[in-house]
Amino acid sequence: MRNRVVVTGVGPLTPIGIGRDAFWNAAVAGTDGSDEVQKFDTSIYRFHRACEVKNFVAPKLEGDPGPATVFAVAATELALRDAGLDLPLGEVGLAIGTTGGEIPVLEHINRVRFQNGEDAVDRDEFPKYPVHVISTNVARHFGFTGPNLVVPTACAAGNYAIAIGRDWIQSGRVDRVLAGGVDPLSRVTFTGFGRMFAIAPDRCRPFDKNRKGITPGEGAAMLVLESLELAKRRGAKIYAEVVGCGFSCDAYHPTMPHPDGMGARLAMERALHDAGLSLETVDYVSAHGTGTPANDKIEANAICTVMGDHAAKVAVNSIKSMIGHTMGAASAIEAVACALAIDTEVIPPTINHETPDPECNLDVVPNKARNKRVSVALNNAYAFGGNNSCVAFAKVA
Amino acid sequence: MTRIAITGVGLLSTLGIGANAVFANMLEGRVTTSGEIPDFDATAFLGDKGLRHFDRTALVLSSAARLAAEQSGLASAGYAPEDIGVVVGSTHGSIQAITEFDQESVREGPNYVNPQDFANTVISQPASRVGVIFSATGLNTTIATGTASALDAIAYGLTMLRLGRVATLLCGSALGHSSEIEQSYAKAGRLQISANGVGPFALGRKGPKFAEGGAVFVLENEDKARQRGSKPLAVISGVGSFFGHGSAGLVRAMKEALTQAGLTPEQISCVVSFASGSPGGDAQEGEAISEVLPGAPVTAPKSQTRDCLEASGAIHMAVSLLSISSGKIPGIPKLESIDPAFSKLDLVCGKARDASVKHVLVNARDDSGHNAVVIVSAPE
Repeated sequence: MRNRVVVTGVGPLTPIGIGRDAFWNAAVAGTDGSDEVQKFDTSIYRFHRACEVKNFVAPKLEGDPGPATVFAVAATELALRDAGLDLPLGEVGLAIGTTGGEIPVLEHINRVRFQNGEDAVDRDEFPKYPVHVISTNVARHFGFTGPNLVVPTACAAGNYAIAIGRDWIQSGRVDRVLAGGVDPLSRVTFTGFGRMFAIAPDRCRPFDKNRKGITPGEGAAMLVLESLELAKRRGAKIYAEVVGCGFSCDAYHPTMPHPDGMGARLAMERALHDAGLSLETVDYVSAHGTGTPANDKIEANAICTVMGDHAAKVAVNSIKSMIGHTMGAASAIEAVACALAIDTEVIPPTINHETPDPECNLDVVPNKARNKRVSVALNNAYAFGGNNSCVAFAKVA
Repeated sequence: MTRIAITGVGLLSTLGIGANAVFANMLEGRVTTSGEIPDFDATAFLGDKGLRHFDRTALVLSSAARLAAEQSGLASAGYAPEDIGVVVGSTHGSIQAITEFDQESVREGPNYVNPQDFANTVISQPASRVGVIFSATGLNTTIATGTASALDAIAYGLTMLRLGRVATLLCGSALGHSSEIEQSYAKAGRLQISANGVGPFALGRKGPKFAEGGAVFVLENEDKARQRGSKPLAVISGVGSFFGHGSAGLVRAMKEALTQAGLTPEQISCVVSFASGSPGGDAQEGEAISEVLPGAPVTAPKSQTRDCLEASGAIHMAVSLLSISSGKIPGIPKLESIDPAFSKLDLVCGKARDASVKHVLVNARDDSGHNAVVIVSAPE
């Protein structure tokens, strides 16, 4: 008998709010987190808006690590506090997803090189960059001794981390895991998406007929996952159960999704199969919903194909309309949204929705939050390389 | 528990292309003098179409995957695309492409970078390239635990196979040559650039030298492999992974792997060590081996291939396969003055040693505290 895995703590660090209540209140209110970019000068760019984390008091950390570590530590702290857990916790697993990891460290190095030459680059700077340091730093900060890794599977990484954490608990390797994702705003990412003309000039409008692209974002979210047994034993608040995970790869193109949404469908089908649930049980899908013309059309088509007639009854939203595309953090923050939607029976809206797109024939919960009992939620996340993931959450009866 | 077999191996190193070529050079005691794979032409493995935007890591990884797939007969094995997955250990990804993309945007301005190169800036891009080449739609995961990444990827891959998420995997690691890695780690005192200097386990060692390389394996259920008429090269009988500092962390991982394999320390034919010439790293590993596997012959492939960072674990696993099939443990060349700290180890010095090699324990570790161990066993 494999252990059941539940979410008992959430630590969202997002452009619209830091911590469970601040994030959720802002999400339900439909807050647009986008603004002019503060972190770097965008005057030489064609695009100028991003969703940055505001009013964040960075914790002082040993060794002056990069910003991904700082976000991840803060999100972990929030999640532990939300779960009512005190240190030391000892054998806790740690799985963190990311797209670029500490890439702002490398960007800093290259900026210094360009302005002042190689000799001006600090010798201790580059070792702060490789992606694995994020989970190493977090584990060291909190004294976690369980299994530990970073899963850099780009924009589906948060879901991968949650699935890995679930595997560890299911197999009995540990009974508690911190899992999530992180990405600070990156100049490389902003440059790349800008050069692909995949950034929205004004606002991110997922599933809208006039959508023009993503709004780059940043943030982190960590979730406390525990075996159901441990959660019950310590009387923990249980938000939701992680009931299924599904993965696939388009194996089609480095950046473009498969035109028929083959992989997106397979990931959802596999998550439902893994959960042992029929598609009629699904009440809510937290879409990848980046706001690019291609993604939203293909994802909508995939959801409709998988759900069939049931699609009309499924509420689908993209909180990227509010928090932007937070890359590797996106599916972790959206997993928090799934857990809180199940717990509070409210689904946050897809904001900036003006003109429905007949090619996205979904109930996208436009502009206004909706009260709805959510028994089962699916969390979709896709990535460069056609990497697709879907995690299923369910209300614990 | 389901036994997972290795039915194909692809290995590229500065010592050669293909597992047999590399191993033959190792047995002859050759030591690489360059950081790059000689005469490497990826088009020989991947064709000449569509490679323009592959970075060096993706080229080495994909070529290794091609060699592994060909050896295992993957194309005619009867697996549907959704049964095939890709799992890669990587902590630097396409580092040279990432830094060059950024440098270009700083130097020329953000509107002058090539958008086709942007895909390379995500760490998982090399794994994605392999997925496209082999139409592997089942799963595509990249695992990062520093220089332990390759073996942690193997451990993750075994879990995916045992849970039935996929039926077969292309699993491994590669790292392409990168001046960013070479310069920045040399600056940080983690790598040596000088061609002089002594290697693993030697007295007066000052740190590893970097070279590119990579290895990929085809992993599948042993019974299924035999049913389709494929003779496994080896089976993976145990893995261990533990996050913890010092030799104690590695000791835990080694013991976990032994327990999972159901083997006693005496049954281990040899240890393929992670020793790189790092003063602290070699010392910690030496301590761990003395504690868990006293008496086991120990070799150190980095004495010949140099340190390939996260790809090293995969390269060492490939060496273990060849040791099993050939009955030879490669020696550590030019190890003239052994650090007395390792006097208790049975280091295979100089020439290769003939032995009946049944079970090989492969270590990987990262100074950050990641330890991963794989035990590779002869097929029955």
